[in-house]
Amino acid sequence: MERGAPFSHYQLPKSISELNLDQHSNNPTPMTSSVVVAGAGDKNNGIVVQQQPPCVAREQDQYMPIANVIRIMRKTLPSHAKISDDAKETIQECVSEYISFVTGEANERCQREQRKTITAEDILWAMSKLGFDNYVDPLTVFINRYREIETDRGSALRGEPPSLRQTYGGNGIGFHGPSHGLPPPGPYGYGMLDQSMVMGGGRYYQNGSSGQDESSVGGGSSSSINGMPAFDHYGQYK
Amino acid sequence: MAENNNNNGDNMNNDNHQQPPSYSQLPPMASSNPQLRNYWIEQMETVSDFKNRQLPLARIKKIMKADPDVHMVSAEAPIIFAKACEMFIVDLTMRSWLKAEENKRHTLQKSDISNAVASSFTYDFLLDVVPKDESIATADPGFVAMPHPDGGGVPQYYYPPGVVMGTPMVGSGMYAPSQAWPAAAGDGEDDAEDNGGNGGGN
Repeated sequence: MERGAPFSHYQLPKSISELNLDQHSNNPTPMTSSVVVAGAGDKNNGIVVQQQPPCVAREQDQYMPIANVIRIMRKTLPSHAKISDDAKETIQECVSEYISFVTGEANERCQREQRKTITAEDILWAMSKLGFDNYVDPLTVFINRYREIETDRGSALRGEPPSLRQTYGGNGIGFHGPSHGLPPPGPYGYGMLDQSMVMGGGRYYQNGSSGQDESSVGGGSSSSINGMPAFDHYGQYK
Repeated sequence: MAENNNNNGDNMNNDNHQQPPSYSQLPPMASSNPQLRNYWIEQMETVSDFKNRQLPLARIKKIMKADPDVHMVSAEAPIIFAKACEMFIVDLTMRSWLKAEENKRHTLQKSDISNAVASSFTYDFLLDVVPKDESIATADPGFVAMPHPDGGGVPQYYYPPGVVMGTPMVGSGMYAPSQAWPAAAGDGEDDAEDNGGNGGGN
């Protein structure tokens, strides 16, 4: 009772107790709500992401589209024929099995020959080995004609190689002749030869070493220098 | 009826001769069926129809790459498979239809496909996909024909055989390799780029 009396006398203790109560009431509420919300969100997101897409993707990807299969079947059968749903699904499964069956055989051949890429020839070889001989001739004609069409498309792409060849030809002309290849080579070439001979002669008499240096620079210079040593040889003989 | 008679006559004639007339390359099964023979003749004439592509190439490539051992596939392989699968569907559908006609039915059923698969060695690889329904089919008329022993007026219904034994195994087999598809898809993209580069080089 005595302790109670001092508390009642002092006003500050009342305010302190109120603040304490507020803090206690505020602290647990947001933590609890945040935990619950976060957990719920994670679970929901996980469930949605993990389950639906893979199942749909797998079912769609492991078979050929059934609409395409049915179209081919109807093209084969007479108009009054009907196809049950289980027959449609069965043919759909058979096509996937056929692709896997032939691909497996073709891949074995690739591995024996230490190759990594399955080619059209490997597929045809596998079909002939697995009893589908009558498929090989039509498919050979098919793929050859397909390649012809691709070659025609390739000729359009070959428009680039001719341009490259033109560029290469231009470089060749420049390389063989003087730097000024645009004028007619005959008379201009002669003029260049005369000038180079004169210049070469002058340089040779002045400095032999400088002449050699210039030979590395230009073809014309080198040809003139080559001529001069021959002349020297004749001088030695004389 | 006239058409049926003609067909029967043709079949009988072919069976009697037991020899392919002018296309020795055709297998014996095909030669005994005029529809199949005509089909293969038409195939030699229509193999150049490129624009009418029935089956998607990307799907074919995914099925090829479902096998973990398959690494790279050239650009021409799915193209040649697109035509081959079309021929396969036509061939199997026609053989199955002949089975339906033998039973004088106008609706192609799964049992017709099963019988067609069982009657040709070439299709032995499909025996796991299309199990034989002969036992169930033979049992079915027996059950229908038998009278109810009680006879007390209590009706009992027999459900058709809807169980497919092969499907679960196929499903389980297919799902395991499908887990590797993301990596395979990446390889596919690289392979496509490489093929493009090779084409440019050529």
